[in-house]
Amino acid sequence: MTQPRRPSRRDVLGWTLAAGAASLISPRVPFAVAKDKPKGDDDPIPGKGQAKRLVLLYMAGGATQFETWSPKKKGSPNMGEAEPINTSVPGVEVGSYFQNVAKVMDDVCVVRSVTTKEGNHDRGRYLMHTGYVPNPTVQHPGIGSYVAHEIGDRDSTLPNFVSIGGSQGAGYMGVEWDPFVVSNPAAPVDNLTPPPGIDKRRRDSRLSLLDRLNREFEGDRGDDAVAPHRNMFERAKRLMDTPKNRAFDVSEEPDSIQKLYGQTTFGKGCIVARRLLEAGVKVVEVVQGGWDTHNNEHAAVKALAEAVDPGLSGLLRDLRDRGLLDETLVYWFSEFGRTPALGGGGNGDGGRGHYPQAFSVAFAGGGIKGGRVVGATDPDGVACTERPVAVQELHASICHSMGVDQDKVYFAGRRPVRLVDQFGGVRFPPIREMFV
Amino acid sequence: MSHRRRFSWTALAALALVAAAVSAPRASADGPKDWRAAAAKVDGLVASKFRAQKDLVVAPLADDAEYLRRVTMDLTGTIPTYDETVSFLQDTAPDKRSALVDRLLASRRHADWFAMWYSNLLVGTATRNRNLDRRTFNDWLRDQFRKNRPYDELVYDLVTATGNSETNGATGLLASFETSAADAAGKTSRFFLGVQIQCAQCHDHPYDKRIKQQDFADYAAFFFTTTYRRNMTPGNPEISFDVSSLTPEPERSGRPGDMTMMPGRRTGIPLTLEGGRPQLRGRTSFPEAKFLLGKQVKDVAGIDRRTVLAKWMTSKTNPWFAQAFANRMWAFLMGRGIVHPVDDFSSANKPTNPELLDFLADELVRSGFDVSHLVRVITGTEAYQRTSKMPRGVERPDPSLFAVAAVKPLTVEQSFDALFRATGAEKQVERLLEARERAGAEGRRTLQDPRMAIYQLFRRSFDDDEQSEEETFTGTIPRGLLMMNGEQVNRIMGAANPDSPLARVLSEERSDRERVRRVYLTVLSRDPSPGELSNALQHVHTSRTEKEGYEDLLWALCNTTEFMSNH
Repeated sequence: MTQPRRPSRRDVLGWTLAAGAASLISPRVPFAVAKDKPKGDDDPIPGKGQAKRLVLLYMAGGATQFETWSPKKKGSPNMGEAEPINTSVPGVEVGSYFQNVAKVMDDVCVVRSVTTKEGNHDRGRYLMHTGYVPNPTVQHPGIGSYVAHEIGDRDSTLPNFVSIGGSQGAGYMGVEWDPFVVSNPAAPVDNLTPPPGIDKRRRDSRLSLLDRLNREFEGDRGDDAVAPHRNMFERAKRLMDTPKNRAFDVSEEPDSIQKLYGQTTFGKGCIVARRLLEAGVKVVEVVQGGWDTHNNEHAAVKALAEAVDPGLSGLLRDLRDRGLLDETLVYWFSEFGRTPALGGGGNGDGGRGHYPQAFSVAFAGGGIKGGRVVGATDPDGVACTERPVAVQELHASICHSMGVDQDKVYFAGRRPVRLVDQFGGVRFPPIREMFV
Repeated sequence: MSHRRRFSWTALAALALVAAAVSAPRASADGPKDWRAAAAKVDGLVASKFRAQKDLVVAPLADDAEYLRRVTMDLTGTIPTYDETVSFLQDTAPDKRSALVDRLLASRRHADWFAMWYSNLLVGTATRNRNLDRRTFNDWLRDQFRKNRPYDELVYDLVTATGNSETNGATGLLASFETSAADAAGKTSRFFLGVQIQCAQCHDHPYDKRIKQQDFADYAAFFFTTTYRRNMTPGNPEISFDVSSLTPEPERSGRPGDMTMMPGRRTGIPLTLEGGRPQLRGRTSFPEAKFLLGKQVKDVAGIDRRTVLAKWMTSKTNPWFAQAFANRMWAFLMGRGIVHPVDDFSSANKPTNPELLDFLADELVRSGFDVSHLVRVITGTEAYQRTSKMPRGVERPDPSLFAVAAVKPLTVEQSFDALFRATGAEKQVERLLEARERAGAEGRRTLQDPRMAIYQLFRRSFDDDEQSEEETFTGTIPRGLLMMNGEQVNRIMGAANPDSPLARVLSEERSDRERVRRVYLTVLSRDPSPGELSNALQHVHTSRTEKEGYEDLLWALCNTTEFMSNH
């Protein structure tokens, strides 16, 4: 492997102007590297390992940045029916659909200048979750899986990584680190309770019979044959039997909490996320689908924000009230953003199309400095004008907050793979501005 | 020659030395497609690698039960039925193993399963892919495998397909790339040629120094004149896809790549390397296409670039085409490629047994790319027919030697087809499939393939990655919970289910020993060992009721590692 070099903040600024001018023509802008280093960039970044838990809020479909984190001037043609509103942080505005989020901006750090090349849903989802471009020979683990793998507890009775609504799998890290998927946070977990006629005694006697009948075959077939199934029933049984599995039951929460998060599937998902973290789960991902707003932007985003605005703000308030926010990293993200032009959705009725060139993500807790904005786009939101952020930097920042070594090398078959991509020999450090 | 050879493990080392000589299948003159002679040749080539190994223990042939289950799983994606198992084990014909292969290859399940296997490899496992019509694609593939279509023709059709997905299912492969020429280039070279040029999309190939970044672009240019179009009408859930070709008219000036485009009225979006919609009217310059590590291709008026590519790709003289498929089929049946990973042919990843790979590829070409012939050759070898057993204490040979049969994880489809057959639940699926088949073309259009629907249901509950090519069914917590507590699973395991084998076993057999034996033959396609028999009997005798005892036995056998793998 090439020895990693450490591009500083200034290094990546080198391609800012090129990106602004060229990104529309060709998304393949090289990461040019500057020679001089500003002072202070080699100082250690604070906040390392401050987070003990992680919440991923994934906006599936490609969430708009204009109506949410990166509003443009009132009346700007690209804003449509949305407008910027003030937040609890002077000088920082969000879109008018984020009324409740605006009130907790002290805790939020927005990154407005994420830029990638992947405008296809599946590829974008893979890239944002794994930090790697899809590759037919390596299945990379998603954030949830690799963080769980690094900080999780193999003997935990609850899964280390729960996803409410589905997620990227663990890839080369193995099925043990796949997300435990809950499809509906308001319903009981699928198959967690035994069907009629199979009480605990009978279940255990079945498992003991199975164990005895497995012996001859497994004894003669070598470890590779047995490994994929090892402990499957043991782990499932542990989850059934632990009283901690009540954490999945959102109905135990008082009305005041239900109201705070909003009576939506996403809101309930966020409540379950908090309950699971309290019970010892390391990573929870909550998915809100429906962000692929090719049609009728205003109505679509309004409906989505009715779930996401109270869900996100409720979660942040609740975590803060319980003293959990400082040790919990919350990451709001999507596979890409939406086109600046309304009507760019291709259907001529005011929707927006896919736009990976310049979009937003947001962080809170876990050592992140709240009330911050990193990066900027031009007045039309077409290109990043300040501090373009590569997907590797997002992953490096999450690793930093979680105390995970971003440079750790794994082997996917014979191929060495780092947790955070160092393609072309370039190592991206965490985003300093989020922590200092 | 008896396949029910019993062996003693102490004699194994000696056996290994003479393995190839002892049981070389008899040579016969079946004409140009003599699979027996080819299988013998393959065994000689496999054994040639044994000599250099110290203390190698080569596994002897599998017994009939082990062979029956393995080859049935490989060729039809499920376990044998109880009746098939009993009649095969009782059959005394010396050529019963090859007769079984013939029977399996002729079965409808074979075409269904190979279509599923191949289509998952080509376009991923999602039933509904946004970019293609999986239903017509699978149906098309099924027809090809049913006819045993020569492999070169099958691939030629896939690469050159044009038209609407509703009328030409073969368009599914191209449609799956949507408008990405990079994906089309990466997938077709990797899958059909075994060469991973997609690494060269962003940089020169890191391991294979012959492949430069420019080679990727040159090869991808074969797809630049292809267009893709998704037909959606508001309010209509039916989506179809068009794959078309622009008809380039090369300029007389002869400048490379210059052509006048004449898009039709319903032209879709052309495939490009980096996305975006190129200007289509008037003079357009397309980079010239170049065969992989080969020569530049001149555009000819009215001839689609993909046709040119497909002719080169599937030609008998293409250095990779036959090797890539021979290696893939070998890996599919043997659990490991001669080049491994199976789609990574490169100067840095050489075949472990080059003579073997050459021979298989040549045999494939000689047979006119006869897929079934290749299957007969491989399944006819001793290498395929070895047992997967190696007792504790004996070192398992390196898998690349093919000295012991591999234990292969099942795909999602195999897992559920096996489970549905063992529990009798497939009868219900079969009834639905037959209804769809009876309804003909119209039925295929309007009725979903019930088996696909079931796989999808289960796949969803495990949140497997739908883009992946081959999903194996592994031990996740949700799977454990489903198998323990799933209502449907417990219903099909229940003795009350009229389709369940337990209903017959309990009413037809009197002795518990015979009952246990029948459950074993039904689920694991073999007799229980004395130890297993006594464990099972003990469980049955200590259960609250007889019915519960046998339900538990059925449940346990369906969850054994043995049941959940192909071995």
